[in-house]
Amino acid sequence: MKNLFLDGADSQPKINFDIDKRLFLIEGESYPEHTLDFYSPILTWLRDYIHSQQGDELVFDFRLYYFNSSTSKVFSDIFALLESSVRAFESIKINWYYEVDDDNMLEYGEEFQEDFPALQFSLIEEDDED
Amino acid sequence: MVIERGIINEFQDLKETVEKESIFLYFSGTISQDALIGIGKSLRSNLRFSHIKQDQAIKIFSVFIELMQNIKNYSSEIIKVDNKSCGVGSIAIGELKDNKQFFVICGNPILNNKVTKLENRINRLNSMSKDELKQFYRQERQREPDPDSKGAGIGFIEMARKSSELLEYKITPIDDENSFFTLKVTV
Repeated sequence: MKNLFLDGADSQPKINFDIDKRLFLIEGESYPEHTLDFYSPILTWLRDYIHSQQGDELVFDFRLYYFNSSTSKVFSDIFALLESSVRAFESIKINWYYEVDDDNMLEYGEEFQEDFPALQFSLIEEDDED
Repeated sequence: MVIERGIINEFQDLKETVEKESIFLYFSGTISQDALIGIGKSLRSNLRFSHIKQDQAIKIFSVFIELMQNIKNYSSEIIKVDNKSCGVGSIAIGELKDNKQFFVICGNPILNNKVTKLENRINRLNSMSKDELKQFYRQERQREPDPDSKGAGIGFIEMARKSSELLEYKITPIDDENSFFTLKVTV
């Protein structure tokens, strides 16, 4: 399988799925025109990857400052997929980043953490470096 | 080109009406993805440099994007932009007279055969407590979306959660096929 890389753009997140590093990054903003269609190949890639792999720990970094409600559903689908495979891996870590004053983003992280207890969530506060 | 005498007189009146309601953003027209992105960027900039608390600003932006996407996807008035069908509608953001809350208001025509479902959906959300909305949101998020939904179908629930008041709406018949739907979200 090849790495998956998508440059970030207006309304679209940067996606950097690195197989060698076992590091999976989703960053930026997400409210693409047809959100479910946009994420469909990404979900397919993840499904193929998860079902063909096992062993070491996987780390997912979510660094978003805004995402729409359809993206929220996609993330839920991603976490459900990961949770269903958690026994094949040493552990699956989710690093959920949120900016200092962003209670909204923190709350999304907390709710995903509650909904998917088999995944290891870390809610990480970041300083706005603008 | 002939400019109607009327508009040259009325345009300033329009601006004064807008200011009376403390509206600081108003857009009416075709909601393409480009329009959504461009106006969204401008809004985000304005909010960042305003006196509005960041938490509240993020909610305003979030509701704005959801409503713009709703107009784009569900308005019954459609125009093709770059070979894509885009909904036509209006949206405005303003400050309430209590000086603490803001409103995002949108309006667009909808098909009459969608009216009942829409009313039921909003009334149902308005009848729920914050906890019930939270549960409902998380439950719906894990379900398959409706076949006639262009997104995940949870946008309204998300707006109801972010809203500090009940969702206010009005539906007015236009003709045999369409009604005009106005929605106000308070943040």
